[in-house]
Amino acid sequence: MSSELKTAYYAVARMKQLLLDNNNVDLLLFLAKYNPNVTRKRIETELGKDALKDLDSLKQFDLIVEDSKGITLTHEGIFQIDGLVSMLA
Amino acid sequence: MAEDYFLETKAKLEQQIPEYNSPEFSKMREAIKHQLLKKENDLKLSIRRMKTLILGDWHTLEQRQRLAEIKNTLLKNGFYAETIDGYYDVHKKGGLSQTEILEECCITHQLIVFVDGKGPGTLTEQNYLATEYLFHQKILFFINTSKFDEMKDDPSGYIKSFPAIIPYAEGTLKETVLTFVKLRIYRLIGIISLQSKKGRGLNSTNYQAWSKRLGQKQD
Repeated sequence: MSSELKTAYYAVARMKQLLLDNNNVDLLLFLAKYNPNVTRKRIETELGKDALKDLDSLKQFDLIVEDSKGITLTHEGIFQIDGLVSMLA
Repeated sequence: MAEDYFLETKAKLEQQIPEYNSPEFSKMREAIKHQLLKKENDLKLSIRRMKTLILGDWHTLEQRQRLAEIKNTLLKNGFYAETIDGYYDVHKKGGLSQTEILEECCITHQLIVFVDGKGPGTLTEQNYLATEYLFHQKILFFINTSKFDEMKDDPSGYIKSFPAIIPYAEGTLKETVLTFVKLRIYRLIGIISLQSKKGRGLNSTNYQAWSKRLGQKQD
């Protein structure tokens, strides 16, 4: 269990850094507002090309998925964004 | 049908989040980043990152609603939870077996809420988990008090396989699950924080697992 807790600890630290990097908070809020099926093209047009930089990392954290129709928040993505917004209450 | 936390939350977020390019959107983004930098919010982030798997009978609509209600109760209180049915792809031929899916979920989830039941799927999961000792420290086993009272005087019964047995009174399952999930998740986060502060385990390259230090072999 301790190695698993270690993994979980570092995952939280990495996720926090990912959220602070680039426009990732913008991207997640954008998806929460305009989902489902926001395309890469729309993200690039409205948020800028840099917003696509961390897409793979966001996928690794199970916050988003991408298919032929576009990019969608996962259930965990919705849950984590709800947590971020609730910090403002 | 039980409410869907994710549909409701998504709809709520659509209302709460301002239009992109508006000053309010920028303010919200900056406020979130400001909160993320605060040390006291690390606890909230850690708690929300822990995953709980809910297992139990799910063949009838009533049974599925019961599991969905437990899941929604945990989600609404800030504890991420899933039921295993989301992992089954019924359209995929040659997919993983029930046991393989269960094993994968048990590895990826930090806590397992097992609600006593008698469906064939539940019995398969029960039999599997009873002998996988590595997962025992993750399992919280919930059983109706009346059934527990019938079984408690027979230590050879199947419930002995679960180290954490929690009886619940009729009608209190959701609240009881929430109470014990909360306690266990906070405990896990506490362990992580303490090990981090003391430089043990997480940060120490010299750390050895207790089993190795005690010269014990793991099963």
